[in-house]
Amino acid sequence: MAEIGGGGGRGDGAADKAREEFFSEAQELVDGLGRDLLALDEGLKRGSTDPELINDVFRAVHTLKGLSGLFGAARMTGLSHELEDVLDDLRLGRIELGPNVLDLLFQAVELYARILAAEKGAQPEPAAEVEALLVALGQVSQHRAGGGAGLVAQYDLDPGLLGVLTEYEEHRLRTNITAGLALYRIRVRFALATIDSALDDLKAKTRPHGEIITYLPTGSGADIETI
Amino acid sequence: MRKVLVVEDSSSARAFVRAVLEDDAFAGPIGGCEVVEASCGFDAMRLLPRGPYALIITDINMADINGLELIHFIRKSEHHRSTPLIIISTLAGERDIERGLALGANAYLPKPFTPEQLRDACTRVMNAAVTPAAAGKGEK
Repeated sequence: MAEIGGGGGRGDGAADKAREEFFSEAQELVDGLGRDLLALDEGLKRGSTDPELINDVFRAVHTLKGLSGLFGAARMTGLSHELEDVLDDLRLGRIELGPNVLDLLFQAVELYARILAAEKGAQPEPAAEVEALLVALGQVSQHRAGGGAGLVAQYDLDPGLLGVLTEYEEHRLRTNITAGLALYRIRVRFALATIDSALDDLKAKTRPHGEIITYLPTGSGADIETI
Repeated sequence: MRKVLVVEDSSSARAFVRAVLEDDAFAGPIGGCEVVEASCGFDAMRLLPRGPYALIITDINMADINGLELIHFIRKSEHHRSTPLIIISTLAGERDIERGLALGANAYLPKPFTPEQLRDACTRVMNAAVTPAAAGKGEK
């Protein structure tokens, strides 16, 4: 594991706390991954794939990659790196989610749990199994297809809005345009104190009608009450 | 005591950044560092009026308000438009990082980074922010 502090002061205790936090957060993320994959599996059996769920899985692996890198858990970083590539292809529509890919993702969850146990010194690292999975994941990424990158540019959209879209959000915008869906810009005023729950309400109300691509907060930044 | 706002949805990444910034190696030379943690973009917006901050550090890939939307908001705000701002994100989001810099972030630090790299990046953008003003004071 990497050394964080070293200069003394309040940082020493904080470094120990950070390492403990890493183990518990990584475990939570791996548990959540398992649940999300089960939900994806159920969806697949019904013939549907929830893009939001795939994005959640991507974000969990993305976080695990960043964290394992920070805390020096190299094998977890290596596995996350390859997984992230596959999940990025999945969420950006470059590959399809099928039973084979899902099976590899389930294997990854199991290996994450074993790597974590190894990091805590409880058992040896599953080196050979991780290597075998990395090879299989690498083969999945070779079958990716290209996206229709120029499509969004054909619409008269506010450049200020396009400038804050992440690559994933831009892909979702493109996918919805391709599907022939209309685009709407909704302006809402929220109290900052309750914005989380208010936004959850808004999401629940809009979900049957479409997908929220992005949020563009406006305000002075000095107003403590509303945005 | 300098106040730093850290916006990151991972609790252990926040704890990592806090540990580095509170360590004497960084906090000592600047007369102490108070780390304010925000676990999402909304938290950050709630905490922004409680500034001023000497530095803002933000992740990009977060739920609801992503880091780009937050940077856009911060740079539109007259109170925070010149606050030094660093993006911390993995290299997978290269295009997103480019957008963040275009929106007004001062630097980005790809994850994973070492404590030294984080310290150096923070010191660099904070110094760059105070140098012109300090130089200006000396001019007649």
